Amino acid sequence: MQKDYKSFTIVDFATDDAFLQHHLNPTRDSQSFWENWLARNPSQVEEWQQAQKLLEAVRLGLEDYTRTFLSKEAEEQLLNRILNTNALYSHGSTGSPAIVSATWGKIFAVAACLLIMLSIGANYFYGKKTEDSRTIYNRHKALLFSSVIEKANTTSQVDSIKLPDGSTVLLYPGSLISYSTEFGKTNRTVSISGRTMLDVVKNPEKPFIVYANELVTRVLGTRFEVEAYEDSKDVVVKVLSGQVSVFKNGTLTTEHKSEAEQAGVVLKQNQQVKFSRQSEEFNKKLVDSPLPVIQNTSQAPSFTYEETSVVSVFEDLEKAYGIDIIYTKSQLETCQLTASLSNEAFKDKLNIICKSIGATYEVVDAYIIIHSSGCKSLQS
Amino acid sequence: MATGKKRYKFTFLFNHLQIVKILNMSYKKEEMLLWEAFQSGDEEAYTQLYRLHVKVMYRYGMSLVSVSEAFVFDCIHDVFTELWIKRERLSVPDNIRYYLLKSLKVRILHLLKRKEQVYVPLTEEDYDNLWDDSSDEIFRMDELFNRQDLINKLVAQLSPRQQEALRLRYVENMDYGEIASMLSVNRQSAQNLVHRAVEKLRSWIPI
Repeated sequence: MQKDYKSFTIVDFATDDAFLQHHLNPTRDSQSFWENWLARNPSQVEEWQQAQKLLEAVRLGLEDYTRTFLSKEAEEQLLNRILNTNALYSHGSTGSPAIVSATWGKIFAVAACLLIMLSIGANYFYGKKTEDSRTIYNRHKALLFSSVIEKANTTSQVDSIKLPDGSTVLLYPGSLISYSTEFGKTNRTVSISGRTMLDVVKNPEKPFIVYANELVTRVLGTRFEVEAYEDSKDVVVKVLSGQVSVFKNGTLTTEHKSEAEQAGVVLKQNQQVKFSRQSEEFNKKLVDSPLPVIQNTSQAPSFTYEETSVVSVFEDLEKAYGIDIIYTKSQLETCQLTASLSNEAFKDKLNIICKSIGATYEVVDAYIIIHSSGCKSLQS
Repeated sequence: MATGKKRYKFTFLFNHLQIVKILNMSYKKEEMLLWEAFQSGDEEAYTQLYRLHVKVMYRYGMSLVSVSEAFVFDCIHDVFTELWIKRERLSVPDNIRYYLLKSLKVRILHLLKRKEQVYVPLTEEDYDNLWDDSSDEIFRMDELFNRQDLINKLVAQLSPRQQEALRLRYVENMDYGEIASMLSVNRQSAQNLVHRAVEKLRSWIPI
């Protein structure tokens, strides 16, 4: 404590090791030091006191941190996990310490240590957790299938996989998919972790079921995307075409008969659901950039209009994108549109239409709501 | 008269601290005994050490990777299991809490590096600079009646490294040497980091 405290400012005091040590964890030495120092430097007392206040203010600002709360339950759980791991790895060396020499003990310890590190490392490389906290993915895998085929994408590129029933799966980097050797014969069930896009071949007799984190997605034949990373806050299911139903998987057992009673949502094309793993809430909405559903160009509307009633324009949009548009028909019947919108994206189309008829739109859940007070100029 | 009043205040403060001090002394000694017992294979002592420190490890871990509680749990698990395996070869650390937090951070960074290979970290300076421009205009002081809210928001405006340094200095009570090692910088940089942060806070907060 040989610093020249005489020239210290408030901030200097408030950030000084000795000053802070004394306030946060005082000792007899620190107490007598500061007592003496203050007695000898009365002119600095004001700064010293202000520094105390500043220290309190900083600590107040860190209360979010100080209050981070670990529940007793979680503490016990983690302790058990740790003790289990220890028991696992000290097995064998405890048996007969007299025979196992110190050197061997050491070699064993080093080997065990390496083993743990390797296994943990490998698990993380695949984006998963350590062995003890078996991931949801692993539980699914173990529960659903007797003999499993697992594909992992460890590259940095999207990988395409063909399933035995002809369905295709795009597996994004760091993602996994597994299915039974019986896939296509007795079931069409897969378990995934990470991000995948699935193009499912239609088969009404065998629904295609995807387990991903807490969600179960059930489809007949469709194209959709599932994003279920082990460590992300949400699970997202996006439908590109067709229809799927998404449920929360409550029990993680092989009996999924009760699914119908469980909370869930039905998704159509261009809709997505985000499931918050914390609050367990489903949030259904439109995908960010909806795509036309109709592939056959002869059936698809041209989106070229000349003095066309905007009502039939909205009907075209609904048909092409499979998105429900809500508006008051009687109000908009008199509104006309002349435009060519064949190349615009869905939301651009909507913007142009709304602007030209003086309306606005709003996306609520998976619907588009049109707000308009009608087209007066044409009525008069 | 005025100085007499001040004196009185100080005496009160010191008396209060004296009690805390005595608790701290025996606490520290007991902890060292626990550590030695743990090293000789006493699982009970090991469990007690866990209980003494897991809450702090948890909050520190969560402050580093708040997105995944499970990941933090995994890392704490790894630190403690590694301790158990290596127990006979360990020395007695001067500051057990610091030792555990340091081990936790090393573990977290190690796993994050493996996990996110595409992620290229900015240099530390880039990082701090990002936050340098955060201006006071963001806050309309009159909207923040609550002093606590205000200070919390101001602390949140500091760079992540500054926040981490503040947590280590003002809550975990590490000295600048220890903080420097936690942040992989030299002692002077650690001190500057905290000094600048507190200076900034002081200019913002009406004391």
